Amino acid sequence: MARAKRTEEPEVHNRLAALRVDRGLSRQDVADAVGVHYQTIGYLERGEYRPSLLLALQISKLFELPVEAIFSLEPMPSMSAQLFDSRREAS
Amino acid sequence: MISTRDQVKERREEMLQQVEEKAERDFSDTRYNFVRSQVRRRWLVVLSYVLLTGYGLSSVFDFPGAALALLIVWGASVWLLRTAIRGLTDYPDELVDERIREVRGQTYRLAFLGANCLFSLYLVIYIVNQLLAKPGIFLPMSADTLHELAFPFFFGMMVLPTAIFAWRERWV
Repeated sequence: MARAKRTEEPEVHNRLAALRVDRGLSRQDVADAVGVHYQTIGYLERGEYRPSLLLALQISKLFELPVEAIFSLEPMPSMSAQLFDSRREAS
Repeated sequence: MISTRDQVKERREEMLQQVEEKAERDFSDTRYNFVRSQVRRRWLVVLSYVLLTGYGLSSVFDFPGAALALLIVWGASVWLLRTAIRGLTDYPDELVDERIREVRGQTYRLAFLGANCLFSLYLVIYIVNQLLAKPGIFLPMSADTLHELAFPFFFGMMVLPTAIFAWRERWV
C-alpha cells in the first residue's frame, strides 16, 4: 500500500450554515434528512469535519444545488456579495 | 422447513433490532447530561485512573478491604463514564454516523498504542523485578504481588477506548 505524502490537509469550505438558515431549517432537520447526528451538521458548519462524498452528495441533493455550490477547497465569498456582483454585472 | 441458517439470520436480525432500540434510548437519554460536558468527562477519566492506581497500590501493599472498595468505586466511575459517552465506542457501524465512525477509528488506534505502552510498562516492572530477585539480595515483589499488579494494568487497558473517546470528543 502506498504511503500518503505528508502534507497539510486542505480545508474544505462550505456555505451549509447560510443555506440552512436561508431555507429555514434547523440542524436537526438537515441531520434527519441526510441521516447523521445533528452535532455532525454543527461540525460541518464550523469546518471541523470534512464530509464523505456520500454525505456531500446527500446534502447537495437536499438543497437541490450542485456540490460545488455548497463545498469548495477555496474560501467562499458571501452569498450576498455574489448576488450583488451578479446584479451589477447584469445592469 | 426452517433451516439453521435462516434461524441464525432471524436471531441476528432480532439482536440488531434490540441493539437499535437500546441505541435509540441511549442517544435520546438526558438523565446523565450532568456528566456529559467535556470538562466533567475529563475529570471522570482522571478519577477512574486515580482509583485504579489506588486499587493497584492497595493490592500491592496488602490492604484487601481498601482494594475491594476502590475496585467497586472504580467500576461505578467506569459505568458513569460509559453512560456519559452514550456507549458510542461499542455500537455497530450501522448505528452511528460517519463522523463518529472516524472518531472511533482514531480512538481505537490511540487505545491500541496506549494498551501497548501499559503492557510494556508491566513487562518492564516484571523483568526488573525478576532481575533484582536473581542475585538473592533484594526481592521487591513476590510472584503473587506481581500477579495482583497485573489486574489494574489489565483493567486500565480495557477502559482505554472509553477514556480516550470521553477525553477527546467535544460534544456527546
